[in-house]
Amino acid sequence: MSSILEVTNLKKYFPVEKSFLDKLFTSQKSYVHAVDDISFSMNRGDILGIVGESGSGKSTTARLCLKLVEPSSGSIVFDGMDVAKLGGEEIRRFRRNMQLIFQDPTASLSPRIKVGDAIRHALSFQGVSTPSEQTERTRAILERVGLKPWSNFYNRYPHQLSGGQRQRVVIARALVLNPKFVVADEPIAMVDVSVRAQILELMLELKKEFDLTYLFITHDLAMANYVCRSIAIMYLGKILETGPKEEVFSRPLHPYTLALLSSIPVPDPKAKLERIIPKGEIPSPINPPKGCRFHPRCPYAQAVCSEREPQLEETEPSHMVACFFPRT
Amino acid sequence: MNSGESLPLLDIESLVVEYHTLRAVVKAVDRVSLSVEKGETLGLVGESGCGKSTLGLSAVRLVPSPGRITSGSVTLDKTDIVNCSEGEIRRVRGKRVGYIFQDPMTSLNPVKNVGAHFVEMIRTHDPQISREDALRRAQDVLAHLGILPDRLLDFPHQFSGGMRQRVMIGLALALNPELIIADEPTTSLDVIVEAQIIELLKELKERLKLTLVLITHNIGIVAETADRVAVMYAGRLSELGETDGLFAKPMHPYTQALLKSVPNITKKDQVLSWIPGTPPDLAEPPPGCLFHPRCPCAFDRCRNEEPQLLKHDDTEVACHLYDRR
Repeated sequence: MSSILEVTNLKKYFPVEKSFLDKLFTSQKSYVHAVDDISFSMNRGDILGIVGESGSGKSTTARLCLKLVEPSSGSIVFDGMDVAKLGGEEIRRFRRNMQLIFQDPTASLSPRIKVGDAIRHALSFQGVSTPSEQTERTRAILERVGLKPWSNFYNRYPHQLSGGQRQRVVIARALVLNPKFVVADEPIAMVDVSVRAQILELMLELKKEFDLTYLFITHDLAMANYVCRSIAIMYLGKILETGPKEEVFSRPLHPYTLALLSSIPVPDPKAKLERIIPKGEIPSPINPPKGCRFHPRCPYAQAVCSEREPQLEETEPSHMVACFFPRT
Repeated sequence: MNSGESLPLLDIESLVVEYHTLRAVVKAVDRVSLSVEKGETLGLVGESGCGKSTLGLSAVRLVPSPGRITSGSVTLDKTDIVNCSEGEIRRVRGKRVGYIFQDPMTSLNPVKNVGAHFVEMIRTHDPQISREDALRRAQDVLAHLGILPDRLLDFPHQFSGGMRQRVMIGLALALNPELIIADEPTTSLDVIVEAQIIELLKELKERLKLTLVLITHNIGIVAETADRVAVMYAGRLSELGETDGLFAKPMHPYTQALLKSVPNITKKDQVLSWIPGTPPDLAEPPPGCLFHPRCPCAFDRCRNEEPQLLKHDDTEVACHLYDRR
């Protein structure tokens, strides 16, 4: 197996800034447990979806993989390299292979830079090829993401494009360097409903063409179901369940996964909904609950759930769940 | 929902709302007619920029400048919303029509506690009510929404997103309005919290016999809650019908395409499609049917003549495909 990304016991705690007075009177430091001991691995060509609500740590996981934030502990091995040990020039070369697509295309493009130049800058920053080749590659990638003919788009500013077109520019900029790995953080959340599927299809086509591996970060289970091959469900910094998409979505084992799935509005008025909606909301990651993180909201929780923390265990081949009483 | 003898609660007649900008006059709502019967839930769907929020705001005459209602009428149970006095419209807002906005953080005042929001709201409409009585009423309302009475002293930032939205719903319900308009009430919320709020709205609808206009881009929410659905595209109404019928047999090509572009998690191996192109620039709208540049069924007539909203069985649709004249 050619594993491209290996994440082991990854943790990220952000210190909580306290007021001056609090610092004087309390010595204890508190931390946001954004990502708390997660492990997963991805093979070349995989599409993994990390699914969770806000505050689950899914975006922090993405940023850790890209070395945009430093982990508190644990290791990330990308293509044989330990990401934590990279420095200076090596980081730049590493980023050529791992690119990021952000959620909000308006915020990720400078309003003063023409979209063609925005894409071209990625090439010149990485010192790839000569200026004329850079322009050539920029034109080619614009056409490839569907902004045809390139001459209609190269000299436009982001505000002159629609939301869907802007997201295409962001995709083009990520792919112009021919990366091996792309992290997409909610790539369609800001795009209109009627063009979402088109962006997803484009990303799937490009995956085949450029031989990419995708890490999708999303809260949208229906979208994850549509594009991903495997799924990891995150809650308060932990992975609660992971496995192939078919397994996780058609036979969810963790009560939280079940709750997520039953919460999604179904676009069919005849659909019979049997909802299991947990009470309350995701607790603060500063003092996460002891034992299983989901136990205070779990309808099936028992005494043991508040005492010990369940570990991810394989119940069926490649389907892992962290629960003492998985649903069957 | 038959529109028998009883007058509809909210009646909108060929309403036009224009935004006057330096570049052009944009018709955000273009000759839209629809009515809401007492006790029903109307889902108003469309993509961003289709005019659904502007339509909602014009029901309480809150269209922000440079937008203004230029023709047509809005009638709320005999009150002429477009032409009534400033004093009259104030009695409508909050008292007769409750409005739930999309973002509960920006709709609540950060320097006032939640109780003060209720007191202000209730006492503005009825100064006879004492502060204490107003707070008591607030407690009753919030109890229905699962918020404990002692939280009235808390400030908006001390509430989570879902709880804030419950407060917003509470404020909208506080004066027992005849009509509630909810504009994207769950868009900024997580899935589980979204489901909690939808279940809450469904329950309130049953128990309080609410009349609800639900503005959303989320087709799933409409399928779950609405009795009738109105689909808007580029400022115009393209289809209007009962929810079951519209989902089972969408008529307008836009509705058909929109429904096919929504992923359904209960379906395996679903193939999603999309609508090519982008919605038109309303500063320079195309001639004829506004959807024709993106429509797979467009023919000559669509490019030249604007389709009218016509009745077909239980559905009203604005498309030349069904107009056999």
